[in-house]
Amino acid sequence: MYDRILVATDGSAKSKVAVQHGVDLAKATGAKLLGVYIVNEVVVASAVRQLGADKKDIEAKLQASGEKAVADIKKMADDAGVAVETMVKSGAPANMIVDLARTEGVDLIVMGSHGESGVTKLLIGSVVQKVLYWATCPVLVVR
Amino acid sequence: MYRKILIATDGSEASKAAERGGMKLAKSLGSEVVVLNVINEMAISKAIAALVGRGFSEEDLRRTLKDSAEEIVTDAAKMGEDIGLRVEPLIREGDPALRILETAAIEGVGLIILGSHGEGGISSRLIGSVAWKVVNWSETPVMVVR
Repeated sequence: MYDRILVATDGSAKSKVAVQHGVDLAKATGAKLLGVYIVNEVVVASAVRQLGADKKDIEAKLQASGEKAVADIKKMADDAGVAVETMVKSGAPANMIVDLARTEGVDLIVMGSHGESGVTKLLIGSVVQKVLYWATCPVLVVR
Repeated sequence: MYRKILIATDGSEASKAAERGGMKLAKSLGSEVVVLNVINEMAISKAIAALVGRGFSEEDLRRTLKDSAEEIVTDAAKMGEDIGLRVEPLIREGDPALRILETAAIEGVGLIILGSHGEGGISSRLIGSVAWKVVNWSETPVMVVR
C-alpha cells in the first residue's frame, strides 16, 4: 500500500498522537517511516530580532528539542517493529515538509492538526494548512 | 486499525483518487467502508431556481440529482466490492461538510477520506471548501487526497 510514510512532529503531545497513527499505519501497511522535525527559522529569526536572543544558542536549543522529538518517534517505531529513519532540518516547516515528501518519495504525510502554537479547539494550525495546500501526496490530519 | 473508513465522494477527479486510495487502504487494513455522496442542498436550490418553470419540473430535477448520486456511490461501491471489501453506499442531502461529519459520527468511523477538491474545485494548489471544513471541524482523523 504505502512504501514510505512521513510523520512530522514538533515534539508536542498533540504531535505524538499523530506519530502513533503514522506508526500504526506503517506497521499495518508494511511501510517505512520517515520522522521529521523542522527547526523553524522564522521562530529563530524573530527570537533574535525581538528578544535579542543569541542565534547560535537558540538554534542549538531548537536542534536539541528536535533531536529529542525524533528520538521519541524512533522509539515508538522501534517498539512497534517498524523501520524508521529520522531527520532534523532547518527551514520554514510547511515548505520543508512538502519538499521532503517530494524528494524522499513519500506517499503519505501524517501530521497533528495543531502544533505547539495551536490554541483553538476548532481550527487547524497554519503549518498543516499550508501542507494541505501544497502537498502532492495524501495528507492525514490527526486531531 | 480503522475498523471502519468513510470515503466521501462527489465523483470529481480528486474524489476518484480518494476512492481508489481509500479502498486500497481499507483492503490492506481489513476495514469496512462507507461510501457517502452528499447531494448539495445549495446545488438543488440553485437548479430549482434556475430551471423550474422553464420546461423542467422540480421532481425531474430532484430525480436527476438523485440518479447521479446513485451512480457515484454505486460505482465506488463496485470498486471496493471487486477487491473483496464490504461497502455500504449512502446518499444524504444537505451541506456536504456537515453531512460528512454527521455520518462519520453516526457510523462510528475511525477515518474520513476525501478529495482535496470537489466538483466546484478550480485550483490545483489550494483545497476545496468541503475538505477545508471537514479538516477543521472533524474530531476523527481526516485524509485529504489530491
